[in-house]
Amino acid sequence: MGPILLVLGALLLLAGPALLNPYWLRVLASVFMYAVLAQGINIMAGYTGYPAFGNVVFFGLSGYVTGILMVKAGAPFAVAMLAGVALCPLLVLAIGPPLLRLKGHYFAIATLGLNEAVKEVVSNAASLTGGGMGLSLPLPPWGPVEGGAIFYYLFLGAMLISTWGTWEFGRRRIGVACGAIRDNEEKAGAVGLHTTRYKTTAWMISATMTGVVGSINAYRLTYIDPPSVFDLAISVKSFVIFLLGGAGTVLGPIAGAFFVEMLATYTWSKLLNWHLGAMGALIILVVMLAPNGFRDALRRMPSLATLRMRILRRGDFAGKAGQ
Amino acid sequence: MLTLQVILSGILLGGLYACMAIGFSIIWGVTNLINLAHGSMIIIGAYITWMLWTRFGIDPFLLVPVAGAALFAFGYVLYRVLLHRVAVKSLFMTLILTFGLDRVLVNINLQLFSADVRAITLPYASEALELGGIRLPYIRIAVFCVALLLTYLLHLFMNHTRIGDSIRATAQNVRAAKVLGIDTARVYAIAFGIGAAMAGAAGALIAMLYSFTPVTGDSLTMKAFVIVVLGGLGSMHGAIVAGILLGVAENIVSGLIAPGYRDAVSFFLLLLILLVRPRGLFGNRYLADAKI
Amino acid sequence: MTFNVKQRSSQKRSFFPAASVVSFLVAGVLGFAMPAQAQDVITFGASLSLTGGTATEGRLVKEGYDFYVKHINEKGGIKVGDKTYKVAIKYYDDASTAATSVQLYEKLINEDGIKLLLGPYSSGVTFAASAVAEKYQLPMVAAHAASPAIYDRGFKYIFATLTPLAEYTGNSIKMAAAANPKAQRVALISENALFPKSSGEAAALQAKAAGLEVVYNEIYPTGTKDFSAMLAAMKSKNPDLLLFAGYTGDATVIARQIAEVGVNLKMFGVSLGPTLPGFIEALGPKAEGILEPIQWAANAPWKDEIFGWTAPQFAEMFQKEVGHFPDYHPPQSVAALEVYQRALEKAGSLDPRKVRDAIAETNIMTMYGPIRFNEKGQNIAKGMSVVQVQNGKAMVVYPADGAQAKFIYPLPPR
Repeated sequence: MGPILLVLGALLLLAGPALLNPYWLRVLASVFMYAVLAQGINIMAGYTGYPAFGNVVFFGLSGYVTGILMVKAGAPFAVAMLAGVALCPLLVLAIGPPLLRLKGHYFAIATLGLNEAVKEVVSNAASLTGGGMGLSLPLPPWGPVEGGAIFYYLFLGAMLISTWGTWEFGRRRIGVACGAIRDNEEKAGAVGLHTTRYKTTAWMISATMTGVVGSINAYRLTYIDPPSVFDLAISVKSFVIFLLGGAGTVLGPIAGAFFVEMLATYTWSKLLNWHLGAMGALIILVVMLAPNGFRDALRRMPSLATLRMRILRRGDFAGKAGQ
Repeated sequence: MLTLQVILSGILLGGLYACMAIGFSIIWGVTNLINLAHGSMIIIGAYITWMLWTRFGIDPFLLVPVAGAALFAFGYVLYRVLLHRVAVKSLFMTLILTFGLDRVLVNINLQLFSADVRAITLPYASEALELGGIRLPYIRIAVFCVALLLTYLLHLFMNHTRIGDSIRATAQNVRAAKVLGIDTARVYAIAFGIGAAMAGAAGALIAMLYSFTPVTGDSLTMKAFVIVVLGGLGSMHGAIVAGILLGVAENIVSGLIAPGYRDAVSFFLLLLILLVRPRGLFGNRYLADAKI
Repeated sequence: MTFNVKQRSSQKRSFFPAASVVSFLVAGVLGFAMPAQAQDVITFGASLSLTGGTATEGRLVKEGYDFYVKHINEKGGIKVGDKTYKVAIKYYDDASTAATSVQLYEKLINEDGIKLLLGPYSSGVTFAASAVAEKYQLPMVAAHAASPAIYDRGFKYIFATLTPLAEYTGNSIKMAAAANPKAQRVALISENALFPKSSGEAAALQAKAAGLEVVYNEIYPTGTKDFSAMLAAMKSKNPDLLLFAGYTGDATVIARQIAEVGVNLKMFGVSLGPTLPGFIEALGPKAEGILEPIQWAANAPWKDEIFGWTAPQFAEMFQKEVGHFPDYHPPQSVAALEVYQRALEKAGSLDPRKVRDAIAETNIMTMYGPIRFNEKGQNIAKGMSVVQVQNGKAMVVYPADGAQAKFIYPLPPR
């Protein structure tokens, strides 16, 4: 049953551009984008236990590198994207080891500080990045319809690859090691695991995933400025998605992304004045009702059978009282 | 001369920063919530002050305790009703929960007060103490003094009252506090209320110096965050020193180097301190360890 | 512990497709369910900053659009060919961010089937949104984006009713150069964002061309609240004139802190402020003497060829119906829709490409001013004025014809 549904789902997704209008293609592309971002968080926070709250820094950075190369050097998108994405793990290689000495809150704050610091640098390096005036990328050569389909497939591909990557990550040696680090880092170190190397590698993978969608996103938008691509709200949303899907699961982020993006799209279009609050309330509800993800929430919900039992019992009770 | 002017006004600014951050620090240190809605609570304090000032013409300095009291009630109830359910859970839960809360508060403020810019301009806003070319506006000196006074009162409260004792005990060791018969749920709610009250008071002060709209809170939260990490979680001296340090550093960059990098400074400072001394300048070891 | 992870993921496998299939079906159903539109309504689409950093300005923009809709529908509607259409506008909130705006214009076009677009608020957002219009080859009449960067890209479908950015500071610089004694030393402070920064850059060039000296020229990061150090540094350069470029909230803070720092400016202008709600109220006497470049004033000499209103009549009606006096944003919105109306009437068709060509040939007189577009889509037919706050009111002081009050210069020490 499971595999059949999976194949069916994949086929449906592949057929997307034939079935949907460009707007819904775009919404789905955003769903895929957030799924990838949440996978990035999943690898770091879910598997390794390091809440990389400021991961959006790679999203922005890769977008900017892509944009700058296209605008200033006339590079084709594929080349510019490759460069933008490649920079992300390199940055981790440089800053990962010192930052990864921090744990819990402190790691989260450090990554947040990193994001803000990079954002400020980008805002000020006007000759290269356009600074606060933003950077305008060349318009894609494709028409609106084919362009929509191309970006859809790009994001879909990114999602499938990152999900496969997460799955591989979980079953390989590195995943085992990172799990050990998450559960008890001291012990993992004591039994001879080179923890720093594993943590840094995990973060490099996470950063690469984030960078891929950052780059595609910049090209899709064609105009980026620091507040919009280094936006912490993007990180928060990815975290909500990751939590909702259930920490440390492979497909959870995808399910979470579908749920959150669809709901956000709905509230945004229906509630002109209250969509911020509605989204906020949704987040609060998620944390209160499903702190360990959908699946856990479903499990904790009484099954139909127990529900019937309870009602029956209450019925008994009422009956007795009536007598 | 300019250098001295910039440093002195940085110190005055730092007092306000400290006042903004201390509530954040208490909430974090005691209840283990990183309250991303702190900025919005400051803004609520500012709106309360602004409303009472425009309606009844009460001097905003007299409204500082009013805003504080209102926010205490708000914070206490909010904690009891909503936040206590998640306070003990993981770090990301609290970050995300309070982010959601912040969105709700921003939206409510927007609907209640509109996005129009508000500010309180007092008749004596431009009077200043002039000392050989250095100019320090009285209102800024007053705000600085009130901010420090509030911090000092809070210090007294925490160290010389029974409630203060139980808050500190709970922050150090919840289990032990429970064994001692302390109603820790109530203590948490009170601590959150006190943090909110400090935010409200800071909001009243901010209303007198700056303009504000419902979205102003975001940048204030970040500021409080940076100061608390710099100064060390749960440390009042730390918040004051870090607040002043940040105020001076920002002013030096803004006035003497390159204003565009003003915000960059605080985040580079943040990264630096985390790498060199993660528990902050004055962080209490037990708190830092407990949270790791 | 790894077993744990694997185990959970395999459980998940059966769960995910079900969820995705459901969401997918929901998406599909919603996607195909195009709203059934009544035959005789033209619906324009706009995404505006109703929340976020420029929500005040966004609300004014919307009030203008709504005002037009109400009055054109009272008049019967827009006549296209031999059919008369009522007018409606579909709105979304972009939260003052470019990325959201792009998504929402895609939604307006693909989901709501909108063919005629109205611009959002602010240059940065319009810059991004106009690329969507260009991609789909649908006209966008922007009412609130002055930055030339938007119009220098060779786009064919973007038009703007307002006077281009250079004029925002141009008049103030002219005033400074003509004043007696000249406001020789110019200070410029600009927010690091598209419109304010371009405005500051334009001002620096204009000042130099006018023979003035730029003694202080700095940008500040978006979200800055305390300008005391910047202003102290500026004060040490002894400027005669400060031109500030940024949105209303920041302008309010700057004006307050100017008073605190005690700098004696002869002249002080902000890019947005005195005519917007809240500004004078928030500053009280500290607002006195502040200049603002405006696109339109209620005493403008124009008479609207569609509605027959003069500018003062429009202002009076707006005050009565909306509840506050209009600054230049609402009439600017109205003018954008009037451009559409004339173009639709002329094209005699709802075909967006025909409408676009008709817009390019626009030549109308509105109560907001005359509108004609250059080949880039900018309105070159009207100029701007400058107001100064005098006794708690924004009074036009420049240009001389149309001035309601004498330009107070130099400012008394504050």
